[in-house]
Amino acid sequence: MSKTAQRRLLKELQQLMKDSPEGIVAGPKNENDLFLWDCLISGPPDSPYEGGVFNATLEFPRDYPLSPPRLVFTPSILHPNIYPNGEVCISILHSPGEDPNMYELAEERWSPVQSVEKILLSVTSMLSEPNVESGANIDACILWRDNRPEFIRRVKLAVCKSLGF
Amino acid sequence: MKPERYYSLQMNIHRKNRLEEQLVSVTDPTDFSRTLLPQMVEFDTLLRCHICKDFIKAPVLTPCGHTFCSLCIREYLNREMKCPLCLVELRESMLRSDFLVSEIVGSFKSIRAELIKFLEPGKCPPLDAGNQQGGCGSPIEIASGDPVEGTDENEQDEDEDDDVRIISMSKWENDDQQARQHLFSSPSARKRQRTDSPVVSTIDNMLVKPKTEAKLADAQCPICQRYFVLDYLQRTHLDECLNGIAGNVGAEEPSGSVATRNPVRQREPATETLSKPQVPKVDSEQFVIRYLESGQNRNFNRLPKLNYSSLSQSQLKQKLLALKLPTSGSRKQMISRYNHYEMLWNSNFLDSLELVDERELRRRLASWESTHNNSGSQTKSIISTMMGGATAKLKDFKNDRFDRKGWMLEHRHEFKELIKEARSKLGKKEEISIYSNHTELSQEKSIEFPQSQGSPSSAQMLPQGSQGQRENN
Repeated sequence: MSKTAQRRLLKELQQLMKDSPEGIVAGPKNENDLFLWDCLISGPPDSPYEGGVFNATLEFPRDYPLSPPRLVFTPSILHPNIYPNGEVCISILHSPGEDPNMYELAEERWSPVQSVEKILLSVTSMLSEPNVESGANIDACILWRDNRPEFIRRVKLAVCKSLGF
Repeated sequence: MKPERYYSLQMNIHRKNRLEEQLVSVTDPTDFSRTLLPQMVEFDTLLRCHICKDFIKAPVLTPCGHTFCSLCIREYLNREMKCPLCLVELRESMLRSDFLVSEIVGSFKSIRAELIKFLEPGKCPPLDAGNQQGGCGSPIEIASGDPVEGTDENEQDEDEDDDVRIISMSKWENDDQQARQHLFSSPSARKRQRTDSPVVSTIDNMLVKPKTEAKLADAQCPICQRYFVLDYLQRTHLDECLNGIAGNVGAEEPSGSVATRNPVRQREPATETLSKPQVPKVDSEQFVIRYLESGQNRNFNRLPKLNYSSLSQSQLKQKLLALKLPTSGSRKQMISRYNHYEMLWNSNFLDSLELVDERELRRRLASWESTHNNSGSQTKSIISTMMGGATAKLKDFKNDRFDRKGWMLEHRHEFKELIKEARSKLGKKEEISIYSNHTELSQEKSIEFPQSQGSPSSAQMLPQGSQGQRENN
């Protein structure tokens, strides 16, 4: 299967190289390993994350695309759906079998017909519209719900920091 | 350290090239986006499996109307009994082979490279928007989609000519009915007529002109409606006509000179044979014939799923033995071995039109096992011992990415010694276990392997030292 995985990753890489969606760049971290990608995701406009460029790594399992990859922001960013360790928690990254939170719709979850591009697009939309119901970072959730200005202030600070200010 | 750096550098170069090569070799629907017919992107996409994103191999149809590679979907259904596209419940037994799609894909694959070359913008500028015929007037359209047909006249005096009459799109629409009849006529009938070819062969027909120069085809230019030698029309005239500079060039262009310019002529001969009479195998018709004959020669039965909970260990072993599969490993391994073999078997014998024999299936199973089913003792082969010792770099030993050349270069001394030893052993004691020798040696090797471990002490071990000297010279 790893051969299948490789071929499929090559295809996705090529497609992304030809035309990647706006605000997203992704590719293997180094030439020797197709299973570890680096991604740059720019914060969507009209969100607290606007203007920021966030680095994340995509880790593909050997049986990709049967199992979903893992997406981790490095460094982590403050967001209700991102664990403090940077791991992104959205339904497209969960395989259909497991549903630890018991709320995700089957059609939103991972299936082999999804792709890196779709994952990254979901992440961008997650950045603009956090889902507080299924929080991964409880502190961020509470902050987002109860003290929006403070949440935005902190995010802006992090954005500036990520840009080197 | 110096030689090591040299090696790793070389390895990197190898690898880098490989990735680039791999990327180049990967086909992608967007290959068409810069051609004259960007709509082909969609067509190309439709012929791909949504799981592996490659062209569908041995397609199967689900009850919900979706098509995947047989192997891809079977593998997926092993863990999730749903259609990956619409998530409707799905069981493996519901899958039906789809030979038509299989042959459509096959025939498209066989012409794809040509088609892209043919659709390059440089060769034939795109039509202006004002053109009444839209995309249809371009030669491409004729090549890719139209059932180009021989006219009645052609059919009557087929001895006389090798004509292929290219008719314009508008005419084709009128003649749709007729064209369809051509498509569905039996291949043998078509062969007799020679000039009437199914969709695919028309392209070959256009790209590869018959060698029989004496009777060159006349074809009508879809733009200016004049008749030209086909070869000339497609190579030169259409471009000029579209550019509006065709006014002074006529049909009297010597065909010979055109022929010498023909680059396609140097292609493999198989497709050149199209319009030569009595050619045993015509590439483009192969798919049609194979489709028509699909369903015959299906003497193989579906390999059933087993209910493992009711099978004892020995029964399970018997099942495996009956299929000539190894019975080593834990029960879990045997089960996954059977499962994977069942998938390979069913997708090969039920859904594929390019059957391979059981030996090949067993080979594929073994190759799969070496990367996926090797937690147990039985796969403690040379490779796995090597992999165990030599860490990250050897992790992908079984993959295409593994730098075999570099590996061989690096260990050529060991390999030589192995060969020498094997030869000497062959003479003395035949019964010696080669297996144990190999493991010994490979374990040594993993210690000697300096790059991955980086410890200077291990780098100075014996064979490496001699290698280093050589490099320093």
